[in-house]
Amino acid sequence: MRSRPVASQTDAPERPRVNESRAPRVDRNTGVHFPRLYWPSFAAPATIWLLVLFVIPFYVVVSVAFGTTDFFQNPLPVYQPWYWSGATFIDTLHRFTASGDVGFYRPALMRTLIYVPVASFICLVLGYAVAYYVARYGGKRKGLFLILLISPFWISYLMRIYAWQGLLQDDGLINKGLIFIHAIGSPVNWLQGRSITVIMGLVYGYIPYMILPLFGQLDRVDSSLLEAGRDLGASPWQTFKRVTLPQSKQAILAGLIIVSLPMFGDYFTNDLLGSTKTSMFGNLIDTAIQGQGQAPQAASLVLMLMVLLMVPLWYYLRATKRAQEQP
Amino acid sequence: MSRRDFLLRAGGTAIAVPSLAAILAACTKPGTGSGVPGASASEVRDLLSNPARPDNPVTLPVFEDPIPTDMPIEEGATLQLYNWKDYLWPKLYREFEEKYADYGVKIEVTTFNDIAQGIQKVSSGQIAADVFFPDPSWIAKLSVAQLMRPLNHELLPNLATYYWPEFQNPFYDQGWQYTVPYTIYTTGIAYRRDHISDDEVRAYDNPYEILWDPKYTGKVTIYDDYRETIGMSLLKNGIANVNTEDPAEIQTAKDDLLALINATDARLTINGIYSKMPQDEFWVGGSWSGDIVAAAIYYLPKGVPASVLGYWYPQTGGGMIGNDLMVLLQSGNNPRLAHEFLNFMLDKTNSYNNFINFNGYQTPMTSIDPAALVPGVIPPSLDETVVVPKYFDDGRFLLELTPEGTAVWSAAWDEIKAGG
Repeated sequence: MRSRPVASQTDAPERPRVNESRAPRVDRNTGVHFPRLYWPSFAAPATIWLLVLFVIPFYVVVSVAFGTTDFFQNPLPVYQPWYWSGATFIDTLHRFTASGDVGFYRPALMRTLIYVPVASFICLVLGYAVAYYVARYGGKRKGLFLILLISPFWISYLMRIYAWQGLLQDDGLINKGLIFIHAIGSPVNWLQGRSITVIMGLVYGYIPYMILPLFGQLDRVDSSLLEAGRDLGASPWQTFKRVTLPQSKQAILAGLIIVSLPMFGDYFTNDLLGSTKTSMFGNLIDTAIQGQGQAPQAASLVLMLMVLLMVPLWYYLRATKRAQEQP
Repeated sequence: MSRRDFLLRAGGTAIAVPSLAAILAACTKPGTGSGVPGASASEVRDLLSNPARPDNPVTLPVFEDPIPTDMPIEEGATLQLYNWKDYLWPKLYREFEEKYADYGVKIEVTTFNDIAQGIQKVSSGQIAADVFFPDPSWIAKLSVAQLMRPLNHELLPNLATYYWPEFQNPFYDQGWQYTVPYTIYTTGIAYRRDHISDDEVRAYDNPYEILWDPKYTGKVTIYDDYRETIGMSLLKNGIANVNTEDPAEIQTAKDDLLALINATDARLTINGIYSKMPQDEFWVGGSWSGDIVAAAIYYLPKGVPASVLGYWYPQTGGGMIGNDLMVLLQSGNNPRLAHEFLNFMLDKTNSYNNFINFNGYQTPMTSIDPAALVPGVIPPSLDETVVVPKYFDDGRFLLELTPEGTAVWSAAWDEIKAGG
């Protein structure tokens, strides 16, 4: 950034400073003149996008959380911070922190804190294997494999989960299959609020987002490095651990972030495959937003979830920064 | 509504709603004052803190005269209806359009999935409609907020001709200034008779207990609706006032519902009765009478007889009842045509056709002999879905709560939905 003004100074050192700031910038390499706002204007679409679709809506959410409700108990956002009331926010927080029955939101939070890491980890293990296979052994068919991986997305998520409902029913294929191989004696009620079903649903829904970044990274690992590792006497496992894995660390982190952040807010997987027994954080928000007069509570929950999500995000950013600092 | 119109309106409201609120909010602290032009804060408070009950009939405030009888029918008008999803037989729209073809009338329908959503859209101005289909618990608020048009009785002769006297002067709208009835229903227990016999259901001291029976684990559904489900738990626990605001009674009902979910893995659904029970996914559940009739008429797989479905409602009275209404909204542009539509829907043939051909919900017409509905219209196994006038003498109406009461009920529901 600093080099351009310096360049124009060297071009016309005698020019007064006032005019200089208005003068068109000159690209040192090409000699092309650019208006002053030329380069910053490139950031405008993203800035406007963020402002209109994130910053302003976020302020509305805050204003709803600390606002009130009208006559029909519709949310009445309060936009002036000096009128904000934290009562609903504190009451809502209390539902997590209070002891005994009053803290009735806590089980849902605990479930979320278990389901999401477990599901993300399963995504990682399964996704890594798939991405590794495609990257290393896909050969000419890499493109085909990728298309096949993405192809389930051509069908709506809702339709796919409905299909799972059919598979998991008492008389569905899963139960029939398990009974056929004598793994179970009588049908299992998979859809009656079982953690394993919800975790499976989360893995199923989000695993492609894990595979794609992992593939992108693993595909770029130079195979000559692996050969060098083997030449130097490392076993296949040692090569993987000391060559491949360190090179894919950033992709692993990115994949984990990409799948776990939306999982934390997911409510429809549990809606469609679970019950209130497996309610997650997202379901708390959903219940509140649909309840009469509870929009401030829903907005408070959204803010709390954002704070919660900053922890993994902060770790990711720190790890990325550290990786960049390394030579 | 065309796609383009929809996008324009959706975009318009998205921008208009927050900014309008912001402008209003900028003047005074939001939430103070009555929030309603033309009504003082104390008037509003009185109406909200003394909601209508059968023993506390309410005459709603009227802020203007009904339209004159000699007002001409609007020409080339598009009548906008705002209704529940799948709640009105589409053939009737066409018949209405044909009847008023000389005036070039068209009907457009917008739907909502639950009444809270419907009220939210109407009250925030996101939906402009001529005719709206709320239930009695919202009427006081809609009237005070001046969102409804008063009715001209001379233009609605069918009400007096065909309808039960109960609905000619209802307690929630004395003198029917704003409302006419649409449907009536009861809330009881629906069950699969191929798994549970009629006698089994009725053998419980209090048949609501069947929902709590671990024998049916995995096969129980209750409505994902806080008033209906907590109300049913109140009745199961012998609390007859289903509009109670007593925190201790609500807690009893809530704890018992948590116990129910724990004992039977019950699932909260809206389509559990009319769509999933015919598929044999659920065997027993709390049910609106109209839902199980609709299940029998439309949703059973081919080859499965309607006799697999059963319904229990306390024949001695004291069960939950309800009704839906039709009202005219101020936001509609065709008040005269809207009156014609109301009278059309109140017609004995149209109303009956809507019931038996499409939505399964009975209408409170004197021309319907409840005893004659079985077996021609309603299968014999569902004979207890028939609504008779005497249910309205001592039935338990789910009615408007005070804002404080709503908060108690909502908190209990939050706990149930959050899971133990």
